Amino acid sequence: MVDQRRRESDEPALSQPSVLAQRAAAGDHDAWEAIYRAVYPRLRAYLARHAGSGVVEDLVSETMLRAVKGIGTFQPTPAGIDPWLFGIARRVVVDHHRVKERNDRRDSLAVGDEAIPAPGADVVAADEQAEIRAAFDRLADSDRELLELRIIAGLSTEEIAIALGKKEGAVRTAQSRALTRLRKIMETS
Amino acid sequence: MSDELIAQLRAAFPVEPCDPPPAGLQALHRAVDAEFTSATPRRRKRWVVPAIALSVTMGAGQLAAATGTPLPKIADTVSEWMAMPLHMTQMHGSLDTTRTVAAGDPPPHGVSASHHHRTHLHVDETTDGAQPVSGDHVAAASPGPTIGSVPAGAAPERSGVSPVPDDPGIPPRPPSPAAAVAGVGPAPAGTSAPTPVPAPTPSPAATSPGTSNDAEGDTEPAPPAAQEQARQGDPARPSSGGDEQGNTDAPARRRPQPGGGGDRQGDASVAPKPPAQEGDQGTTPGADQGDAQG
Repeated sequence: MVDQRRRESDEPALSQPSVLAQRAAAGDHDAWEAIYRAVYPRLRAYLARHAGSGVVEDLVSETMLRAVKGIGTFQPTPAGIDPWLFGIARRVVVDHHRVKERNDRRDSLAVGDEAIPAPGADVVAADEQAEIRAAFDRLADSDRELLELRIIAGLSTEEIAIALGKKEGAVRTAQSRALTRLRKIMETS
Repeated sequence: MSDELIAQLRAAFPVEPCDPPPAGLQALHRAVDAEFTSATPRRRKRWVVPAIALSVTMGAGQLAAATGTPLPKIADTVSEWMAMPLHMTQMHGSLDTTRTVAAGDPPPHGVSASHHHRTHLHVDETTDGAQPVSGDHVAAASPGPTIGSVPAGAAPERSGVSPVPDDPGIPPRPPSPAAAVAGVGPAPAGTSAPTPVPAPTPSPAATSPGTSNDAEGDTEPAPPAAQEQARQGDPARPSSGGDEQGNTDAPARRRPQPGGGGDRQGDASVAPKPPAQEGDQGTTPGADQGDAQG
């Protein structure tokens, strides 16, 4: 009963990103679990898109592990902890691809990238979503990453700026240009 | 227009709500426990670099002490900063220099007379009222027999030299790894380089079983059983131990010690051993072994 009451009293505090981050920085298990549960679907989708579903659980765990270890370096912002977590996820993806490239080079095996399917595969499906996905895959890496943080990770422009370490205005401009390019690709295709 | 495109993209890349797997949650809690509830690793990490630096400095200091080169300035600085000598032997050597003992005093148990004499000569030579470069010290549970063959009142080689026995109350120090690195060690058992130094008679205590001299002349403590065995004069046990790596290329400043530490890989190039003395039976096995392998 007491626990339940305490849990209820904790709910409002845990719903506030800044409070959640502070409590996580203090080593609060409940705060960490709340963060994990809240971010897991988006983090999983983001990482699955970049690294494939086969290793996504490992990468999610790696991201959270790095977050726990590096919470001391987290600078609290009104945006909460999500941008910081996706910034870590980006680095996890980079590291994953680096290791994967090294292994592929060592094994001399051309392993197809599960995360980014060939453009033609989805175009054949001929539905609208497949067409968008195909066009999306033809974007430049920087544009794609920006839009992934916006679409999949669900971050705002300000949060993307935090995650990428850029200024908000630059992110807004880059996002606008990325959408314009995507539209052109869809029109030409 | 942009919002519409973003909506299309969200429809194309749906994020399905799902719960994290229990294994992931458990891993998260373990990580939180490890990070926050156990000894605060972040605080520990702060000391990693200073600890490594200190270890390297101390190692360099010991190496310098073993090889006789002047201590690096950083080692001196750290030593002063810590308000302690680099290792116990130096402190011990410093203490020894404050005492004077009449000639003929027995050397500590387990140290040959020449070694004893040489050790303190060396300490005094290198000590200008400060820390010695290489202060040997010995474990002396009981004083050894009197050095009979040393001329009474024999003057030290240099003025101001006062051979004194070591404080038996100070526990022995294990052989320094720096000595092994430096490759300096006591003269092999049974070997005696030609020297103009009046050769004192090796005492039985100097060759008692279970003692082992490292490169700095330190004495490795023998287990009680071994000491008891030594008192009974067990010839089966090799006598003086010593540098098993057997480097006989000791620096010239190190005078050989008759019947001193045994080198099991004795070099045949070194001078022959001195004639065996009375009560030297403990020396024989080790010396023979060194010669045979040499």
